[in-house]
Amino acid sequence: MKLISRIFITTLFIGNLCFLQSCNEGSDDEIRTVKEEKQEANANNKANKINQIIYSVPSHIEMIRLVKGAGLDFDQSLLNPANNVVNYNSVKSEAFNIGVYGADLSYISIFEQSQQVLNYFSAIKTLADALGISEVITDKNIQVFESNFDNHDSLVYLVSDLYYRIDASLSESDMGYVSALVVSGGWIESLHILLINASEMKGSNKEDIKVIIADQRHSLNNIISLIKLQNEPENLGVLLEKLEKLNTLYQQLDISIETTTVIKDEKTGKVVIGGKEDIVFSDGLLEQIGNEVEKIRDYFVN
Amino acid sequence: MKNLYKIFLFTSLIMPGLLSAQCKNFTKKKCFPSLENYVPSENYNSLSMFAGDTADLYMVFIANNDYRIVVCSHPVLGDVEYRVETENGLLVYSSEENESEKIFDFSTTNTEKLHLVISVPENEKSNSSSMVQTGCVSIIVGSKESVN
Repeated sequence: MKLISRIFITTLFIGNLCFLQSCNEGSDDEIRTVKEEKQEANANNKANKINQIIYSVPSHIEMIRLVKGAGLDFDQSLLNPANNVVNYNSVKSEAFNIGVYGADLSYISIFEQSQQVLNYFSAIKTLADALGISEVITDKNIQVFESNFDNHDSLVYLVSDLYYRIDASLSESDMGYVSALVVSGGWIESLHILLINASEMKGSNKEDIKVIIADQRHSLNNIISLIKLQNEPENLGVLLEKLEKLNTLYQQLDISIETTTVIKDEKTGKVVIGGKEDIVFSDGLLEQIGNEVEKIRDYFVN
Repeated sequence: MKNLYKIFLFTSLIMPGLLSAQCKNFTKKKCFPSLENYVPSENYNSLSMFAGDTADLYMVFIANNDYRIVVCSHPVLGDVEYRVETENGLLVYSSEENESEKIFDFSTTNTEKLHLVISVPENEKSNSSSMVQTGCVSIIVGSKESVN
């Protein structure tokens, strides 16, 4: 038994030495090199090189800017009430709803509804504590939020920074599947806000918002790939199934022409990525997509 | 001996947390300032990479925004290069063709899914007793609404 425990402890230590050489970029005065006598092949053999893959989606802020850009008004009833936080008692519901509240907080910040900020911030703190990432919201962070309630630009920046720290903590604590739930929650909530608004719109405004909703197929594909990459069927299976069902609806979009152009402005040197795509998006399909998104949201939020 | 094992155990338990924090701090301190007035994305895209490694990132960029991509890496890895391509393989940007410039600014008029390919150079001194070098590579994205 003593021998086994020694082997275990030694393995742990060696494991951490390996980790040490891979991540200690924090201090500049050390040269990060490790002599790998037994891994000559790793240095020379291309077949052993690692190829890492990351999928990411636009931030809550980018998504909610679209809502404001489409000329829509703030609507409190679209949000998940902050006091619902008491209902979330599993990792899945906590993670998904920390994403939902992130989108709601972005919505509140962009629409300058500062009186709501504290409630949502508290709900996010409760969920962060429950997920074991309390360090992302310190007393200092709370003070900074409180002192910037009326500063719209600072608030938007602080929300982004908060969710960056949440994602960093989860990713680096080997909680990739939790991070995937957070990302999914934020995306579904942003899409929910867009879709409810779209269902009430008419004319050219409705056609504009339909294009925005159709564009979300790219993010949906990335989220599905991100979830598959986690290989966590027990924790992400239900969500994956629901998102794939939503994806089958997105695949019914009739996109007849899709070209991308990359133009560099010779004067400013700035690159503009654009192009043309013709999308046929019926009201019926919009309604079906809206219903599916509501089902996913209801499953995790209510 | 018993005390030594206690130290080993203690180190083993606390070290991962400390080192993760260092990688996060590297990104915060060394990379984020390059975003200037762009609002940072919420995605944490930091990788621990070895000489010769590659990474693929699939990212979605929303229409009518100005974006800045910054690829920032620990100097020990050498000149980490990256290129940006459209879904159909059209080259949008290559740091190699732009004097290894790690900051790429662009605007979008359509929502686009772009593919970033990150390449860490091979260790030139690589031989049987070489040192395998590893370091943090962070890809950060900032956005702001297009002025036009």
